[in-house]
Amino acid sequence: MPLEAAALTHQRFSSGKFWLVRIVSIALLVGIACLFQFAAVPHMGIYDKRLLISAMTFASLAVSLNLINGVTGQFSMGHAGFYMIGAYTGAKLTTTFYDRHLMPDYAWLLAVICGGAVMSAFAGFIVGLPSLRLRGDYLAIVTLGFGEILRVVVNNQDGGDKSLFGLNLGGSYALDMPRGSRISELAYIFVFLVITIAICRNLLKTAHGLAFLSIREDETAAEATGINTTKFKVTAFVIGAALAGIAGVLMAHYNGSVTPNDYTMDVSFLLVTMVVMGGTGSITGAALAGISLKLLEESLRSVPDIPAVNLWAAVVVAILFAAVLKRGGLGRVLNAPALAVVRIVIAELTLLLIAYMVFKLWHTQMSIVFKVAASLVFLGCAAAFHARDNVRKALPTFGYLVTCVAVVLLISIPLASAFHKLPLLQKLIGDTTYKATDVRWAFFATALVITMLVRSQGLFGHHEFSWSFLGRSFGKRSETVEASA
Amino acid sequence: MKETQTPILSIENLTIRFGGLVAVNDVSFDILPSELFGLIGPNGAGKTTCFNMITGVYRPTAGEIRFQGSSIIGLRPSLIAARGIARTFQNIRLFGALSVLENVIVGGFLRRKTTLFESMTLLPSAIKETSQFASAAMALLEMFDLADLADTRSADLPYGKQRRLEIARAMATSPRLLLLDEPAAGMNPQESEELMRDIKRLRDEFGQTILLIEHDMKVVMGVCEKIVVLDYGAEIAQGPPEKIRNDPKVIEAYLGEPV
Repeated sequence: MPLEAAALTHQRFSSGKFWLVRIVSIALLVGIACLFQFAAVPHMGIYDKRLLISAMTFASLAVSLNLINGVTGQFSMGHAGFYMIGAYTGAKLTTTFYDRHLMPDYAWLLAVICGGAVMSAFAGFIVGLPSLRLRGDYLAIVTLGFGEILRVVVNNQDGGDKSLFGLNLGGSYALDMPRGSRISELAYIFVFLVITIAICRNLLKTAHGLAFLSIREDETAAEATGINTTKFKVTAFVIGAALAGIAGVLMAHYNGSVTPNDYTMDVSFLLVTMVVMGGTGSITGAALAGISLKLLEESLRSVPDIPAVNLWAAVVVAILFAAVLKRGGLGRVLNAPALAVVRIVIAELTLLLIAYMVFKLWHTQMSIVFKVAASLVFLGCAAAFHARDNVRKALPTFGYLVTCVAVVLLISIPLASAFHKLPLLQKLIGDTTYKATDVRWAFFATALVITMLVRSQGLFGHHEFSWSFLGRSFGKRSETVEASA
Repeated sequence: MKETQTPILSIENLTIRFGGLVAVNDVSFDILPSELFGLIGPNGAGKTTCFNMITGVYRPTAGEIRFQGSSIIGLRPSLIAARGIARTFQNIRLFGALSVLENVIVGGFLRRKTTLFESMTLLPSAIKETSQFASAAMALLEMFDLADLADTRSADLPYGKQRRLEIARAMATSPRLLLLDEPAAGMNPQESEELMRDIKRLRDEFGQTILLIEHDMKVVMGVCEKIVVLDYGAEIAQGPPEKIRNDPKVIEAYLGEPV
């Protein structure tokens, strides 16, 4: 048994044919990026590209924030600030110095990336310093303040007439580029996302990564074990900030403009949400949550307007129904073991229904990005439901939840039309309709609430995606079948 | 004979005040290499405070702490650990979400030679070093009978094994001096006996110098060669177990009756 564990360890930390693997994987990455850039991108609309780019940018931001929040355990809420510094440094450098005859575009972009990364890293260093004295919520407040101060400063820094070096950040402006030339490309952002993930993943594969994790787990013990917690905490901030800065540079150059409103507190909150949803410390979780939450936020723009009466009818029914379930013992009946088969059937039917809806989605006008993402999410969930033993146990619960939602919706529709006829209610709400642009945040928040209620440790917890995990979870069934045969 | 040896740790007139409270008052003792030294005293006597001063968590108000001849006062805890003083905690402090093996690897991390850059780019040197740490950690786990639990989350271990893991982690820093803060606390008699046997083995086989805080008198008397007794922050007796056992001041302050 001990030998087995030792062997496992060596397998986990062994290198193999290092350089061959490294070169092949880099070549693969470049190959995929080129293929993507030259084969797929030209066929995509402007909106599709924009969606994909913001999803990937947010995924990389979430992964870099995860290094600070999740891995090192320093609760930072000012990540939009680092993102902004990168964007504005890059934008300023390009508007001031860019000359297309000086050097090729990609070289210039690389130079600007370095500039943005250095500035953000410096900011990360400054913000990291309070983390030496502050923990948890206190640090969160300080970093939150940092992000907001930065936005206000940049928004108002117009230099007036007497600006010494013409330091005119001046809120929103366009990068002064020749028409039609865009030096940041979708493929660059894709490559950057992969590099960000690779850096964090590499770190966690070595003893250095364990040092960061140990600070999250117990700072006093880490220090007593010989880890300079000061150095490592500030390092986490510096790396995280530099990566966010690079994301900012790439995004600013893709957009061809910068505006302080892109870097508000909302962005920081959204990023923290992504890290928490994905599972603190999980790179896979942060990246997936980054992509899916950003796409969810965008896709909810096409939610139809909802009459207030219908929404409130559903809320009232939901509360009453929950009370009946709880107090009236209906829950026990619906949840009875004998009905498990029924609930599984309901769950399977629901999955079929969702499959049908995804199929229908492909015939709508929505962006291809949503269609692909929704299909992938559905396939992932369906596969997990049927292949992973521990998730399959959740099928009856899923069926139970679906039944409840169906009952609520069924009752709420006649109730809504009844509400319409009530004179008092007519006077109160009238024909109020909630606008889709606002309601989408309510939906977004509801999705978060449900996820947190169902799985409070985040989608991935502390786990990471690995091929062997995938192999194990899908291989297990055949093994058990063999064993029983 | 022993007087000619230079002490590995020498504490001179160590004093710390928290506001008006004198937690440790004018304590002096020397620990020789390969000695098993006991620090005992009733609750609140200032034993753990002593540990915290030696490991750099608190800065003493007065007095001197010399480790291998040079003062370590004012150094941060991680530096003191790098000099060769490792410790365990009274209330166990493991890296709960990390596996048993990973906990011990963190201990060895102190002796790293690779840089952060090498780890971020996952160069062969970083991989090699990490696997060296891992095999060194495995060897330690074997010694503490934890090898078969290497991949368990450390928070999921039973209490006694958590204590052993903490000692293994401290040993991974390859310390010159090991400080154990009540290692047998909360263990049943059999577990604590086993633990003490291991501690004694550490000293006998590897010549490990150990400073031990312990409540269980039987344990201390059976294992330690030299004992310092604290009461209300002050040192009331010092010497080999036989002398402590019969010291009237110790009996009065701590033991109540001869053991």
